[in-house]
Amino acid sequence: MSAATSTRGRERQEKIIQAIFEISGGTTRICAYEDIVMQAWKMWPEEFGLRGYVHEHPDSSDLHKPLYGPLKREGLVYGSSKKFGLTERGLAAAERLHNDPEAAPADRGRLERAEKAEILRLADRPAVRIMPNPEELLDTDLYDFYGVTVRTEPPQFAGRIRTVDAAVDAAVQVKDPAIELEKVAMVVATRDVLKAKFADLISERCAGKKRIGAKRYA
Amino acid sequence: MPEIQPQANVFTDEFLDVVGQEFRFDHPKGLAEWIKNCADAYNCDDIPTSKQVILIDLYEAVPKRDSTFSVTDFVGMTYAEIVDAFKRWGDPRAAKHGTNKQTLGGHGNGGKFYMRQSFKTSHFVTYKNGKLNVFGFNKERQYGFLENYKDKEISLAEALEHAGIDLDSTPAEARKRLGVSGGFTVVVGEKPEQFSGRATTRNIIEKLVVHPQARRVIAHRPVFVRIGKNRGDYRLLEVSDPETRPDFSDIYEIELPKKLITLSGDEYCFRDDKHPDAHLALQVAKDTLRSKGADRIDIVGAVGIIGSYAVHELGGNVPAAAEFIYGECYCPKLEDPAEDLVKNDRERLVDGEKSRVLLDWIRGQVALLADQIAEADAKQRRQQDLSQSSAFNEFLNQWKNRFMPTLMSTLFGGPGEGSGFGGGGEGSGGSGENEPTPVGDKNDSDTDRGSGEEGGGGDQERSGRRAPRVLLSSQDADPLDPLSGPVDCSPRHPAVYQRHQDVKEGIYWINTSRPLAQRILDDYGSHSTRWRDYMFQRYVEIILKESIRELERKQGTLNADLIETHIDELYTRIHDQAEEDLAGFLFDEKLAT
Repeated sequence: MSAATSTRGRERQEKIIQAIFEISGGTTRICAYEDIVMQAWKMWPEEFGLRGYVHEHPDSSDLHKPLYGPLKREGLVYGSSKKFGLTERGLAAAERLHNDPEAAPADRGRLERAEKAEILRLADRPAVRIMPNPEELLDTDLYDFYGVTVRTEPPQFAGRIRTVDAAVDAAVQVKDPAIELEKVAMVVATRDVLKAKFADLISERCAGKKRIGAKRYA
Repeated sequence: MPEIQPQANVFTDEFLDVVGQEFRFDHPKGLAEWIKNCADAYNCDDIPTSKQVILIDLYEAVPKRDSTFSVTDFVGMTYAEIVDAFKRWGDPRAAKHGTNKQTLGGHGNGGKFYMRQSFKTSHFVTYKNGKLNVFGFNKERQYGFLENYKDKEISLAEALEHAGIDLDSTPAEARKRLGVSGGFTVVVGEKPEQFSGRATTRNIIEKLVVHPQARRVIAHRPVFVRIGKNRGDYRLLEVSDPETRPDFSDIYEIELPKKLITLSGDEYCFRDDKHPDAHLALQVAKDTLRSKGADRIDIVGAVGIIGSYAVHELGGNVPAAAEFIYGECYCPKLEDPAEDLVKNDRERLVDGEKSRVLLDWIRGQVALLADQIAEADAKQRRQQDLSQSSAFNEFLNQWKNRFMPTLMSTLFGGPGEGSGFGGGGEGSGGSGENEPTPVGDKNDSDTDRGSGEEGGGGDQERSGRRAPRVLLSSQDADPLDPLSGPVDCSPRHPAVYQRHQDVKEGIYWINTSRPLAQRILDDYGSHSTRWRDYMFQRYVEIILKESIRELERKQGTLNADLIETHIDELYTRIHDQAEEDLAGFLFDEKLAT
């Protein structure tokens, strides 16, 4: 989670993903917003109860902003229209909190399942295959590499960037023997070229406010 | 052991007939040798090229067999130069006139052989340092000085009169040069061989100006010509370069590899420390050069052309577009005495492995450029084709605009429920029974807007999401930047493509650069039902994309069963409607745009 996120804010976000983890049965299954509100309130009534009635009524407003904002941008949840699920990254974070809240991701020595799956997916992307000719990389290669589309909403887009980058960085750090180092090196090189070549596009897509106007990415 | 005592070689005149066959009867080639000799004479006297005046006089007599061809320079030769250089056959020093300068002439044969082999008689009249010499070939092709015209001391005026040079008829540049040098040489061939029937002096000059050996000389020097029965005034001879093709206006310069390897593994060197520079320079003409024989690659040595090949003579197959290509291969290493590839007549390189591997390499480069030309031509053809496709696309756009709102409201509920296509209303959402009312940064909740099941019931009417606008890549201008011209897609972009900025505007591009699209356009053309069907399928794809997004918006989550059911329903409706509305468009082979 972002260092900028306050401690209290981060704790609240961790509680929300744990609530989703409970409802989804430890899967990435989608859950109704109302169910998440109720589950979070049941688990932490003081945190998610209506002020003055914390044990009688939940307060849904405490969950709305984190779900649509930071948790999506961090790549921990996905969904829309009042339905949310944990991403693979979110699931891994929830499992970690569920098993050992004190354990840091760097302690593990091997890549997490979701990270490994991500690296293996990335290694097979067309962008990686085309890397010997980086000038041929297209905007659609960027989208494909990060598993998004031209229409992915900004928070989700930012979340995918964060998730993929975190997996790539973890692969570099951990050097998991289950993944060939050459593959990791190619993925890293591709990621770096894509991020440099499409820095403006990434920035605008993550921000989601500015209109790019006539600028071409074709 | 006794050793062979070397003696001077002895040749009969018949040997000259054998060697001279290369120069026989080809007047443009022979005249090129003469004007090269003129240029070399000037070069040896350090006269700048802009002042190297050369006169070509092709007098077409009646009968034609009595015609005379002559070439004049304003340098002149001495008796010693004739005896020590000109007279000697095959002397590479002949063109150098006792200097060490680089010259266009190489083997000391061309001009003499042309005199000897292509005319009944020939001679040159030369005047230098106040002395006149006349040297030539008689009817028996034996050469020598004209009796009493060996180092004859006469005035310039008398010399000009003897040579038949009428100063009044010569260009001012020639008179000026003569005034400076005080000397001249006029070489004259009488009764030319193979100049009868339909042959004309005009044809000879037309071929001379494109002849590889003459072209450069004429291009850089004031060469004047007069031809025909009445002679008339001299006119400046000009070499016009082919007009380059606008989209291939660059000179394509490719460095020659240091070594080229033959199929049998032998290596041949084309650049080394002594000759570090070697390159191929190719250009593309607007019109085909084949008819003029100008689709050639000249092989250039240190100073002049040492060989020339039409592109189809390079060996192997070359693409048809190669007939628009011309250029030069500069490779002075080919003149290296150790492995000299220069032939006597400088028309072709000496045939052999080394020349063949070079020509193969040149052919490869020509073929690459020709492929680019062919690709550009195909693109132009496709663009013309695509301009016809615009009408089809507009037709499909109109059909989609009529059909899509109905389709979407059927699939996702009435227009009041927020499908929004074609300007339907959309509720503000969140005001009904459904939680939540968005709080915090509205940018974080943008996907939640109006998602309440009873959304759309608000009293504020919003303009609905606009129907997608479908455009053709490489044909339609960018609506977001109309001055920038058509938007080109990569062949690697998807068949239906959107840029980031297109999403908000609902713009989709049918990628006409996709290999399948190109194949259909190339093989069947834009009129074909196959192309129309391809375009229709892309519209189906766009409608599917839009509806999947709408489905997710409505359902909140998607799974395979839901998507499959949705696709079945969507395709059924689209196909039924298309059968009803688009039968002519999809099936009529003769549909007019």
